[in-house]
Amino acid sequence: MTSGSRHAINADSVARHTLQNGATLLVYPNPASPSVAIGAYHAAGAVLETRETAGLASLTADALSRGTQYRTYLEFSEELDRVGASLAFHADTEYAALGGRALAEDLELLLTLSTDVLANPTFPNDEVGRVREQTMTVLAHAEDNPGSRASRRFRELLYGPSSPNGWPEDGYAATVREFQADDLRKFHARAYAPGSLVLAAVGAVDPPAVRDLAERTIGAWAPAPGAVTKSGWREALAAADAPRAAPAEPRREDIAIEGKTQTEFLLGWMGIRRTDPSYYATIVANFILGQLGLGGRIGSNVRDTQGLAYHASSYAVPGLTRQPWSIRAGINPANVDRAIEASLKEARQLADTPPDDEELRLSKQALVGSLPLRLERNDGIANILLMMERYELGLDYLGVYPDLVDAVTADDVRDATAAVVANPAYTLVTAGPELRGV
Amino acid sequence: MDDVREHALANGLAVLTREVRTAPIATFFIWYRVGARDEPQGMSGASHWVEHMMFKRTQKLAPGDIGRMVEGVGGTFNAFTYEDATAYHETLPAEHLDLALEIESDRMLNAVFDPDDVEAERTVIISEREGHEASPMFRLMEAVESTAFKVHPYGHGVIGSKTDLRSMTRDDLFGHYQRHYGPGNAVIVAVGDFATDDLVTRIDQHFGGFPAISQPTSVAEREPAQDEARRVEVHHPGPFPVLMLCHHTPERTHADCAPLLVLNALLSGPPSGPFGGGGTLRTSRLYQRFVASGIAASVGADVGVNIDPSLHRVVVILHPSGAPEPIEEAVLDEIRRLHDEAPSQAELDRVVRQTYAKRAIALESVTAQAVQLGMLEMAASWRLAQTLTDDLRRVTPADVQRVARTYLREPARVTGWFLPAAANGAAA
Repeated sequence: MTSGSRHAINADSVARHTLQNGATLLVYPNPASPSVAIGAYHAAGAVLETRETAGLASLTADALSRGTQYRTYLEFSEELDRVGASLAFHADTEYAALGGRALAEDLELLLTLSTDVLANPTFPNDEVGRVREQTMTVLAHAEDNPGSRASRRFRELLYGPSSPNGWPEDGYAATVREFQADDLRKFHARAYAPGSLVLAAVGAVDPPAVRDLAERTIGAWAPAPGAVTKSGWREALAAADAPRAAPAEPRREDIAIEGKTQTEFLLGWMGIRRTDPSYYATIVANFILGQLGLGGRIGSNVRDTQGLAYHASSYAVPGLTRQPWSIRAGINPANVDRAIEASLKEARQLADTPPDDEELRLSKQALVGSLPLRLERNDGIANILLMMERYELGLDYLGVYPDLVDAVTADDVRDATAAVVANPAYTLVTAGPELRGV
Repeated sequence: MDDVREHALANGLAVLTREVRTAPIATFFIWYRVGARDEPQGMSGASHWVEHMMFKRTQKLAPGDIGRMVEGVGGTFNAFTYEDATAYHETLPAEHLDLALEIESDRMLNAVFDPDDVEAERTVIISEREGHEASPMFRLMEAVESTAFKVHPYGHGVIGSKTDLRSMTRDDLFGHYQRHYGPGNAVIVAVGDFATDDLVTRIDQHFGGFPAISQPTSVAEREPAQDEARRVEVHHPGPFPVLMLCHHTPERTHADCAPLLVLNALLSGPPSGPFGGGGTLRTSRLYQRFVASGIAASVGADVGVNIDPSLHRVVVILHPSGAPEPIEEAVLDEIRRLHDEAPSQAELDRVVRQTYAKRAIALESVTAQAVQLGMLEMAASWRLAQTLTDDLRRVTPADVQRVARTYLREPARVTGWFLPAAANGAAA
């Protein structure tokens, strides 16, 4: 099975270098493009915060560019906007990240600004106040949105209160409204350090020149004493991943939101880590269950055959920690139970019976054959380089990926599905108008 | 975009091609000149519903076949409907591009509209609409459009009203399909790794035998000029107030469109949508006034790129406790500033530079290029993709001030508010 990409992304074409401060640099030259993309991840995700400070990592990342020792927020924005470039920072549960785009001649600007913002933020009080208020508005929207409400509650139930995976990345109104600039400064001093940072640059660039430039910018960032190290981050991830006793029985919660006409449901189980040997069987299984065409078997049943929903799909999210395998759909309240039953039936069917050869072949070919589409844009390539580094897959990973997918058998698909969804104790959350007669 | 080639088959089917060899992939779009603007009274949402039916049964294909064909070789596919057009697309490994020709030539004329499929899709589309209804922005947009357009079909949304979605019949939809789907009402746009002459030959083999259809009669009556400011308020449970302040603007072929794009770039950012920009720049006038100052949560502005006269919109999302009146007054103040002061030449030069960079980045993918060419061709001409930078460069400070005074004036204004309310209609 071949992926057919014109890009030969491998250990020969990707320049990998450890900078003087321990950060990792990955460079892939794509001379066909006039632009450059940079991307990076590092430790400062929600795994370094506590339940009492839920949302602190996210607010810190959002406020990072709002003022540094050398630039005001307006000056930072002006330097980017003048040349049509963009640079943004955010934090997820497992890590914090940045992404930037510019014409290739402006790579130095992107790296200079990235370094200044990561290393020297001052978190001015007034700017932190504005970002906090914006976050409160985002949280108000999440409270009002059925999909967001279902998703947030689902994770709380699945992981419990002691894992950062169980609380929302952007926190709760009750925690966020208390954050002061000094809380962000302290979190930055503790969680931002170059040792765990991996930076990728892709576009019309010359790798040796990028390496020199990166040494002068990101490479010159000295960590604060006591800041998190790479191993400290891995320990925090392991703690967030601590196994939680599975529920003995299915659990369900229905959330009523005023003024809504449609119910969103999220139904799922604790899944696996990206590094689990059954990962490839799982992504093939998920593709069959809830992706192929317009939502796989679930979409075919719930949408095409029964006409119950506009969207109905399943998701197996990759992560450094165990992540859910879930099914979600938007349904008229009168049909919620029918759609849930149909979804469960499809999941259990795949856990019982291996897929036929044609369904298996199509799904595997789709997962492999779509690779060139993901490598078309510089930011797509940068994301794949970062993914290969994050999961320690090696720079030759894209060469072996087709074989890893191709090796998945029909029995592997059934077994990977059974290992997760055969558990009768699923977690289910619905959100929308008040349900009658449930 | 200098290397786009134009072709026309004898039956009227237009073809635009651009060879791009940076990746071994190609994208194939077919655009039909049918959207919300072509829907008569009582048939709002018909174009979008027809789009859904095109993934059902044809004389050759069963539901799900298209997904299996395209994804089975690693491709992606989808479709979308908007005010002026409906587009279907497949992006594929280049060696499989003929799959797109097979699919699109089949469903151009051979869709079946099985009655059971139509009924199943009715509830799917109502479900899609009910999903949108969760959004304050959707509710406000519907109210503003119906207030702004009393005659023209732009006054009803693309998804359609629930009343029409419940009452339209299979034959209504099939008639809409037969009137609007055919070679003379369509444009193919292909971008990617192929040899143009060979591709055009294959397109002719697949589509050349179809008879030309008569051009459908337009139902889009010209909207009478608005001579008095209009206002609409939506009171519904929701998280925060939203302001949508609009003014009527001319059709895309009008000479004032370039100065309006520059005006909008000063307010929020370089031309978006088919032009490849998008997003509000943090140094823009509106961002500085509303978000950097902390008085609102987010702000944006855009100009409609449509066949018929459309709207310029400023959208402000307030903080949950934000007071509406000062926000509306501040937007009007920014509009007065455009009336009173011509921008500097340096500001206009900066818009051109930003536009060049944003487009270079946004148009990296073959799919984005095909969207731009097709959407511009639907609204006016794909050649706007070639001339945009020069068009913007020719705009003078006086042009910007003139179009501000011409279009962003009170009688042409439609002001819409989404105001959170308890379920019984009382203020929340």
